[in-house]
Amino acid sequence: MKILSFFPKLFWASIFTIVSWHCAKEQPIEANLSHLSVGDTTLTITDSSGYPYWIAPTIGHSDYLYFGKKNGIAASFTLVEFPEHDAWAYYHETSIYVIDSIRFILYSSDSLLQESSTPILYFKADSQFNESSSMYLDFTGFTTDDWFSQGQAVTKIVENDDSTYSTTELIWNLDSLISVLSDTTDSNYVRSFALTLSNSDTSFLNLFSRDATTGGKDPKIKMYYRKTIQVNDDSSSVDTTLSTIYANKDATIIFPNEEEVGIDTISGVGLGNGMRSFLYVNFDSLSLPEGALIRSALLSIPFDTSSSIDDYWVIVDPISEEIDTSFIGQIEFESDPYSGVGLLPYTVSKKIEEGILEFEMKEFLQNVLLGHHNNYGFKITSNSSNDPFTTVFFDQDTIPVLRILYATTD
Amino acid sequence: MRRRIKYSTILIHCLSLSFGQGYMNGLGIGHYYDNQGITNAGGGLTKLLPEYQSNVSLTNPSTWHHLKYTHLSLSYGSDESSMTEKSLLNGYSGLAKAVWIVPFKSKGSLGITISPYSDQRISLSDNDSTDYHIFDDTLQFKRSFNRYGGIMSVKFGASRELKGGYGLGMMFNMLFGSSRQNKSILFGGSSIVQTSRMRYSGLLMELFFTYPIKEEIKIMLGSKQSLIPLDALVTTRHLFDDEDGDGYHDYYNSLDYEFPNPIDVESSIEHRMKGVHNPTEYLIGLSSRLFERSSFAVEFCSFNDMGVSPSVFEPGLNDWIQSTYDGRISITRFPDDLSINWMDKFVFRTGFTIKQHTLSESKTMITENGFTLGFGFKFKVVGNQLDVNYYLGQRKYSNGFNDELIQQFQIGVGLSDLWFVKRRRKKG
Repeated sequence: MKILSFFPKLFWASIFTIVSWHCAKEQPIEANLSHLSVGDTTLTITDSSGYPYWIAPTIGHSDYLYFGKKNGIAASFTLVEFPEHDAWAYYHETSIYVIDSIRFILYSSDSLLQESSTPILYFKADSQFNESSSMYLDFTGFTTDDWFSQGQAVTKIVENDDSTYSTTELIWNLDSLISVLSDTTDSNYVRSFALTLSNSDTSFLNLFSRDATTGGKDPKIKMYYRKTIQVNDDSSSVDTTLSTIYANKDATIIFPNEEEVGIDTISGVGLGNGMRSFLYVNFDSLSLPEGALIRSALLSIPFDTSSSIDDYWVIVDPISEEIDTSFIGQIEFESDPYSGVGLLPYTVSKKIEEGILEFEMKEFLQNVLLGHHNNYGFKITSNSSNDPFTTVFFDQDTIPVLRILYATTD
Repeated sequence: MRRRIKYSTILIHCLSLSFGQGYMNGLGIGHYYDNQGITNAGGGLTKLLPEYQSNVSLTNPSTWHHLKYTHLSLSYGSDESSMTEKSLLNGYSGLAKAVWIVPFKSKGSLGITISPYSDQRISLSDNDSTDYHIFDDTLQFKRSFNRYGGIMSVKFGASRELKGGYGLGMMFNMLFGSSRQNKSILFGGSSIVQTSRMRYSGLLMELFFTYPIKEEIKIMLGSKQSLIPLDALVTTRHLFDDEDGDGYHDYYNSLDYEFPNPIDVESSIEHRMKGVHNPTEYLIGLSSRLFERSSFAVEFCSFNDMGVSPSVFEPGLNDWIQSTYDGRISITRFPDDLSINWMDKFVFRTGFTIKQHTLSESKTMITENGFTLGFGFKFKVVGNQLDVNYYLGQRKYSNGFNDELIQQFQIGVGLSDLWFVKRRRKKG
């Protein structure tokens, strides 16, 4: 009978399950394992060298637009550019659109900003610049004499819903430029604005750049207009509305402190001066035993506490290519001659804390050990979020130290 | 019978090591199965002398041709090792041995045996952690060692009865297996681990000889030599930071991995270690019938390992068994095949063993005293048998290591059938 023949099969299947199942319990046994080849050890490297070098500063991706002079670094003028937009054509479509007004707006966090302290706005078509790379050397002899001046701004305090201070708007009237701005005959028409402090004003001012927010405090142009909407053959309605055109480029052109540029006695970093430093730490693929694993590799760079500011962010970027020998001895460049890796996890950004900058370099050094990369040195630069008018210097009396903790199988 | 063999064959594929972690697992290529209690539920304590049936030892091919029927024997065992002073308890159970013997008209036989050869599973940790002052920080430092796996043995044996009742047996023992070991050092939060894998292969030859002095007294001799000493192919991986403690070098994406990036480290380094295990063994045993159905057996065994020092793959305890001497005494009462009384169908076995192992590096002596008690029940005309055995032993170490209490329980079933018999075809 099938039922009777099932039970033996069930019996053997149970046996199969029982004998396949492993029952085990394990507790580690304590023993002397000093013979095991895995162990740890340390290495301290103080053999390092470095020097400062300068490039023409660019702060196009800063969160602020700067005006004025501080620490010998001059923010001479700011450039803002606006892109193509459908609204530029409204001026010509008089049957549908009537332009009521057009305003250029910047934003400040200073609730006490006076109108007399605001910069002067200028316009000139087709004045081009590069937000990332335009530098003061490109603007030698720059003048706004042939630009259209729109004067200084009107300020307006903006409050939050709970009546607390939110921001200060700086508003320029562009009504007189409406026809110029609305030129649509040239498809490559560039709408560029420049801002400078008035000659008699020696104050320092910073306004939000387009990198600071996601649109709320970006430099913008607001065009207020009425639009006629044809409802049917016999009737139409008029809609009063506005278009907002956001800047697609903005940059402050900054002039370094010529008295500090080229002084190569102390290394340091500074955004506004264009100061960077090269550091070489003597570490290569033979510095540790073969097969070693770096547990930590802390590079400590002491900074001069009289010049350094805590929370100042510094980037350490391993140099990815062999250094051109023609650069040796040269310390002033238009652009950075050293190519960095520029990528995580090798490139590290850390802030100075208690006068010490400490970086974890194990990712890069482990790959030097494995032969995947060569150690050409590091370039040390200021993070673009720092105040460009601050320069920090290495401590002259204390050298950088690389402390490595590693495990080895020897 | 054939259906039972079919199901039993499936079970053979589920073989596993059947003894728990102990100190000896960390020596050399692991804890030899032959050194752990009894090797077969139906076999008793001795290797050469008949304890399964009156003329048959499942582990001595020179006796196999005395079986009347084709025989399949399976043993399942569980082992427990406890260290008396440290309250450490380790245990494991699994299928222990499978033996399949085909006798030919009591003149010869062929057989296959599958069993574990050595158990390499061990988990070790430093006695104490050590504090290190490094770079203005204090780190606790502790090593550990874990190894998993072992070596299996497949034996192909044959026997031949010679004139005068002498028996000759031969067995080729293929050794194969693999193990994985992790050496790790814990400091600063997570462990740095080095993983190695070993693959083993080797070939041994065993010879057996039965010399009947009289019908009731027999001397049995055995020897084991290496034809191809055991080699180990060692694959060593780069050190890595085992953040999650799972013993594996994990990679999740290009920015999330256990350091260093597995893609960056070179592929594993391989090297072959020749002759890590090169055993030589000699056995001599005397079996004497005491009464009508009882026998008394004495066996002595000498083992030496001439293998090279396995210093490259570091067996955990940095030592290995260089020599073993052991003596065994057993008494067996066999069933009465002609009796219809069920009480006469039982087999009773008991025995004592004394073993002494000497380690090569430290010259530590490991002494084990053991006792075994078992019984079996024979049923059916063909001689199927169900066996149960219990072993209790105590191991002492001259290096001051904690004494071990060994307990082993084995249950086995032996099934017999008649093969190579002409059967009449049914008419119609």
